[in-house]
Amino acid sequence: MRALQHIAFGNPAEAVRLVTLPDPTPKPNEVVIRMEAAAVHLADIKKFMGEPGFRNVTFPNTPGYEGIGRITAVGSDVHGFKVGDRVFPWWGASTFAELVCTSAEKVMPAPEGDAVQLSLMLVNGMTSVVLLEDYVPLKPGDWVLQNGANSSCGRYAIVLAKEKGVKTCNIVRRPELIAELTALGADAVVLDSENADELAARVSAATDNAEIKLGLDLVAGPATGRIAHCLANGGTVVNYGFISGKPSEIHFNELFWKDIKLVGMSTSRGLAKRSMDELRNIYAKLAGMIATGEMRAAIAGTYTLDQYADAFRHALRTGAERDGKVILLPNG
Amino acid sequence: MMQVLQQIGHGDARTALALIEAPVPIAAPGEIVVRMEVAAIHQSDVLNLADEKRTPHHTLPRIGGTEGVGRVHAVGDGVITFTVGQRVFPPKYSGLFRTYVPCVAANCYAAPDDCDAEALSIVQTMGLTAYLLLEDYVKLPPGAWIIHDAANSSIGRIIIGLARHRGLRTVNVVRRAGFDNELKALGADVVVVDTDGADEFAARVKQATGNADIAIGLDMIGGAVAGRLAHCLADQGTLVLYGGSGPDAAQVAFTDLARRNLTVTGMGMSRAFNRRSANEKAHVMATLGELAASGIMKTNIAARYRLSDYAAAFAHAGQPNAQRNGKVIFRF
Repeated sequence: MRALQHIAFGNPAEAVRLVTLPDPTPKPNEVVIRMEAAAVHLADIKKFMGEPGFRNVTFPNTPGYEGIGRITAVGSDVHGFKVGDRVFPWWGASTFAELVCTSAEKVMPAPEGDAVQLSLMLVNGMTSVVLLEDYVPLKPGDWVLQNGANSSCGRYAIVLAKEKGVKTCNIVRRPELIAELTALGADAVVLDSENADELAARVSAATDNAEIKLGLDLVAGPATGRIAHCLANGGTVVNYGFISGKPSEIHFNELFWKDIKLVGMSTSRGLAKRSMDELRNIYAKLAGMIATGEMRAAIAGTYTLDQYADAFRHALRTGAERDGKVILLPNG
Repeated sequence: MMQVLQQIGHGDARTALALIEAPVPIAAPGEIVVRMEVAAIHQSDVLNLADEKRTPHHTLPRIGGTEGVGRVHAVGDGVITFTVGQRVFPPKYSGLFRTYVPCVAANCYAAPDDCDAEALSIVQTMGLTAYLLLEDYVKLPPGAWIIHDAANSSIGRIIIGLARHRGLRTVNVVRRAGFDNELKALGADVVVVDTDGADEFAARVKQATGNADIAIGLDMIGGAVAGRLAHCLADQGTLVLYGGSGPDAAQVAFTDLARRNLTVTGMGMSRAFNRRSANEKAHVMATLGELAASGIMKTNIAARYRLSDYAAAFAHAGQPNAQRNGKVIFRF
């Protein structure tokens, strides 16, 4: 089978190579999955490049946090799965390969439906769940403010919030996204402004002066402080990414005047807090909502395994240059 | 009659201020009249002269003064908590640049008698700030480490003394070398000169503390140094911004904030203090008074002026901290 291998830190085109490996044979507790689609995350790219905080890897390794595929072989002790079943492997199963051999214990059944959309449920879906559940208690009618609203997590958050009766105010940088996100279920979409007062005025106008207690920050840099500037007294900014490439910037005055707190979010902590049963329930629900098209991420492009260099270059672009997620189709 | 220093305009103290005579106030029911012993000239007092936005024309004439200490001169009807001659902390911002100040008794706190009044001159601002920073955010058992920047500032020095008194150990971050002996004499454990590289800085802190887990960082400055403090914290650590003395927003890296589950919060002294019951407040003030009286919490006095020497006093108080080296106070 063919698989990608991460062999050194560097430019993704050189840090990764395409290799041919023997087809895996499952151990008694394992299944082999023929991958249909696997999402490329910014964290993959940062790992390839060896960015600070992303260097905890051993070489060579096959990357890929998540994806979806069908079982082609089942170990002798595995019950509940058979050849042909569509499944999600668990986190970090090295999915940038034609075949994934993994312990059946955490493999989850997957619905029929668009493989590309389903291939990014595991990471971004859980991120949005954790963002909405773990930081500020929300009741129907409450508002959530988020930037990076057109990201996969942002789009998922719009739909998941709506399902809870929670309203979202979404900050975008491109006017053409307003209609798109509104169609997805966004209650308010406002254009970003470099000026925090201006942004806060837009948010107030769009939300009828709502007191917003939760702000989700994917962008970092000065955008973190601008989110804080729009929140009500006692609000919490949850930072969960830094697509600006900058550290979160927040001034004492933002925190102090309104008693705002800034915390960082990691999905793996959200996972650790939940039992396997809870996680399976959450994922079953997410998978269902994605399969029906209710939850929908933007897809920037799909690539085969041998186009990996193009795929990773695409994943590195931002804004209008990359409208959505880059997806690998390991079996073409 | 008594002397009152009135702000009648803006700009240079010689013209913005005027010393006038006024009758000594009479204690109304529920009030005491305090005969001032000392009053500190804080940065906010200096800015009030310079900045018309802080003190618009319609608020003039006004009497400045952020904090000080004095003795009860007269007691109004119904006041049973204070007796004539007793030393008290009058409420902050109650127009303390005058010889006699009428105060609501319920807003005053008893002050210790067995020390020079000067030792108590900044208890209600810097003393209280330092105390709350060490009390309200992270449970710090004896032996625990803290890290703070601006360690050589007035408040930095107070933090050192308080921390030592509580059995805590301090990493003291300073801009330039040469403060080791001075700060260690105050009780500092480790003095580290700030550097640009966060990794290098954290490595030096680790070495100096023997790889100690540091649960809390106290940032007075903001900008990149706040991020370096965050980088030195143990996972789940808390960074408390309390000064915002620098122009830049605190910059906290995603790899610290989200990956290592840090919290960034800002302290508002009044808010933190007002969370306490009247009894708790009195207890805090009594504790602070004792710490100041016993010399554990030291106040650097740059110079003492009589109220009539206000022009020279304000000129001195307006000098940069490094030049002034301590607090300028009025002695009545």
